[in-house]
Amino acid sequence: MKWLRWQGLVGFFAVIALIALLWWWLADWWIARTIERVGSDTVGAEVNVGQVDLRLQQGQFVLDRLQVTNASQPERNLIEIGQIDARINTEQLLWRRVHIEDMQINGIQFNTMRQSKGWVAEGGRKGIAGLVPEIANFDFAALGDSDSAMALLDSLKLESLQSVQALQNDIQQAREQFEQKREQLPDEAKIESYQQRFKKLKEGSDGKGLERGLALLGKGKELDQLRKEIKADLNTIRALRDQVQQNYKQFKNRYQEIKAAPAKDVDRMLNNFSFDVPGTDRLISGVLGPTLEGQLNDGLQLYQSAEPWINKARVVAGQDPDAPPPPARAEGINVHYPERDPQPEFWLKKASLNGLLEWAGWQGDFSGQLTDVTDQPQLVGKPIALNLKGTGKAGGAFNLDATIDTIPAAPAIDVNAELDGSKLGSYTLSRDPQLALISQSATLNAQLSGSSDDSGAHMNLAMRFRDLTLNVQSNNDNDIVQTIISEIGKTDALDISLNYQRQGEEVMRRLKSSLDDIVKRAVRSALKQELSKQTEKVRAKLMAQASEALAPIDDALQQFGGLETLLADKEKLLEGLLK
Amino acid sequence: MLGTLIKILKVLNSETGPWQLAFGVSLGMLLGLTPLLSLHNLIVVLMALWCRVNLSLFFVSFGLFSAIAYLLDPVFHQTGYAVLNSNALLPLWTDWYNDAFLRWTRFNNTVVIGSLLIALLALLPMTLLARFGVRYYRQHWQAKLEKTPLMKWLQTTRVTEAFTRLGGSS
Repeated sequence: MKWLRWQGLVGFFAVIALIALLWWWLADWWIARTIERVGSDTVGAEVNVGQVDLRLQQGQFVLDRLQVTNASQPERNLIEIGQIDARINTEQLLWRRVHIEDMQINGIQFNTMRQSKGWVAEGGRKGIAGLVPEIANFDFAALGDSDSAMALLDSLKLESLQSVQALQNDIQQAREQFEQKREQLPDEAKIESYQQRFKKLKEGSDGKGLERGLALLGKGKELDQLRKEIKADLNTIRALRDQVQQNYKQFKNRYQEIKAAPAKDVDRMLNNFSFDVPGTDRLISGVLGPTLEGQLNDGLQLYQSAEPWINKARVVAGQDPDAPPPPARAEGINVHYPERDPQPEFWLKKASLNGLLEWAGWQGDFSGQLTDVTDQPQLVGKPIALNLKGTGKAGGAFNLDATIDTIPAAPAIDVNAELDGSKLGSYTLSRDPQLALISQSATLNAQLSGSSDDSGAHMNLAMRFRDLTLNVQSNNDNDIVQTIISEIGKTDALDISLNYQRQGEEVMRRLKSSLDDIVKRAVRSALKQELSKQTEKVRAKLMAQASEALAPIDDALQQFGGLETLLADKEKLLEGLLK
Repeated sequence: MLGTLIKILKVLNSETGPWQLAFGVSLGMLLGLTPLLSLHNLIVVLMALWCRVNLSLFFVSFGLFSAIAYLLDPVFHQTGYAVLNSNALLPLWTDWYNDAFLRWTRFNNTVVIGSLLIALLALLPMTLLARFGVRYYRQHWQAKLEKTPLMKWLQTTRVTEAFTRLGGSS
C-alpha cells in the first residue's frame, strides 16, 4: 500500500495559493473593515474608512478618509482625517512588531458634517458634570416684581432714621446730666435763707452815727461771706445755663438737619446704591456651564476612547508574567522573554500632522509633530511629545507643547498652550433663553498650563477676550432684566479663568469670570434706575418715616429749652439779692 | 449527526486499513485541540492531505476534539503557563523567542503551547487506541451489526444520499 498521495499535496498547495490570492484581493477591504469594527467598538460611535492600500513589499500603508462620529452629535464627526500615509518597517513586521518610521497625517478636521448620521453605542456617554461648578441659582423672575425696589429700600438702614435715634439719645443724656447738676444749685429754701440772713444783717445796722458804723464793721465779715456764697451759686447757675444754651442750640441745629435728612437719604441711595444681589457671583458657571461642559466632555470622550489602549500598553510594558490575568477562552496569555535586541511591539516614531481647525468662529491651519508613541516606553526611553503650531486666517496664532511620560507607573503629563491675538467670529456662548449670549466678534488671548503625575494634577486656563461684541437676548421682558442685558451688551472685554486641582482624593475646581462683576454692576444699575423712577414715592415714604420718628424729639427739645428759663429765673433772683 | 454516523460506519465497514483510520483520528485530534490559526496546524493539515490517512475520520475527529478543547482550555492555559515559566526551559524559550520564525508559531502563548504539548503526548496513545478500536469493531461487532434491519435500511444508497442531501454529514 502506498503511504503517500500526490493529490493531497496538490490540494494543500492549491488551498495555500487560494488563501494567498484571497489575501491579495481582499486584504485592503478586510483591513478597512477591521479598523472600522475595532474603532467603533473602542470609540463607542461609528468609524468609517474610505479606502486602504497596503503594500507589504514597500512597507507602505495608505488610508484615505477616516471619519469618527461624534457620539453627542451623530450628524457630525468628532474628527475627520483626509489621508494617513505610513511607512512601516518590514523587518520588524517579521518579528511581529509594528514600527512606523514615518507617518503623514494630512487634512485633519474637527466637527465636520457627515453625509448620514453615525451609529452611536447604547448607554450614553459618561459625563463630567462634576468638573464645572454648580449652576448658579440666579432668579431672573424675582426681578420681575414691581415692588422689588421698595422692598429693597425697606431692608436698607436709613441714615436719617439712625440720626433721629442718636439725637433722642443725646437729648436724654443731656437732660440726665442737667438733673445731676441741678442738685448742686440753690433750691428755694436756700435762696430763702439767703434772704433771711440779709434781713438779719440789715436789722442790726439800723442805728445812727457811730453806733451804726460800729455795727456795720462787726457784720462786714459776715456780709462778705454771704455775698461770696451767693456769687458761687450764681456762677454755677450761669455755667449750667451756658451749657444748656449750647446744647439746645446744637440739638436744634441737628433737629433741623434731621428734618432735611430723608431727602438726602434718597439722593445718597440713588447716587451710591450698593446692594449685593445673590447668585450673580456664579452666574458665569450657570451661563457657560453646559457649553463648557459639552466641550470638556468631548475631550474626555477622546481620552476615554484611548484609555483601554493606554492601560493595555501599561500591562504590556510591565512585562509581568506573574500577573494572573484570567485569559479569555482559546486566547491564553503571551509570556515574554529577554530579547537580544529589545524593541517595543508598537512604535510610532514620527508623525507629521496638518489640518484645519475651526473653533468659536476662528479658522486657521495647523501643523506639527507627534513623536515616540509606543506601548513600551521603557525601551524607547523618551516621552510622547506633541508640538502643534497654528495660524489663523484672520490673524492670531497658537502654540501647543505637550509631553506624556508613560515610563513611570502613573503617566506624567505636561501641557502648555498659548493663543495669541486670535480674532474670533460669531460664537454662541449660551443658548439659554433666559440669557442667550452670542459673541459676534472678539480678539482672544489664552494660556493653558497643566500637569499630572501620581501625586495629583493641576490645570489653569486663562482666557482674555478683547474688542468683544456681545449679542445678548432674553425672553424675560422685565425692565430690570432688559437693563442688565443692555449693560452686558456694552461689555467689550471679558476674562474667564478655569482652575482645576486634584491632590489625592481632594478636587478643587474654580471657574471665574469678569462677566460676574459686569452682571453684578448691571443688576445694581438696574435697581438704581428702578428706584429713580419711583423717587417721589420713595421720598414721601422716607419723609413720613422720619416725621413719625421726629415727633417725640420735638417735645423733648422744647422741654430742654424750658430748662434755660428755669435757670434764668434763679439767676435773676440771686442777682437781685446781691444788689 | 445521523449522516456522520452513517459515514463513520461506512468507513469502518470499508476495506480501509486500521492505521489509516487511526491516524485520521489522531491528526484530527491534534488539529482540534490546538488553536486553529497556529503555524504548526499547517503541518498537520499537510500531513493529513499528503499521507493516506482517512479524511472522513480526520474531519469528524477535528470537530469532536474542537468541542472538547473548549472545555479543556483552563487546563491548557495552566499547563502552558507552567511550562513557559519553567526555569529549566528558560534558555530554550529565550532562544526561540529570539528567532523571528519561531515567534510566528506563537509558542509563547500559554494555550498554544499547553494544548500542543497535551495533544502531542496524546497522539501515540490515541493512534494505538483508535487502531485497536477499529480492529475490535471489525472482529466483534461488524458482522452482527450488518445483520440488523436498521443497518440494512441505513446502508441502502437512497437513505444515505437523502441524509447527505439534508446536510446530515459533518
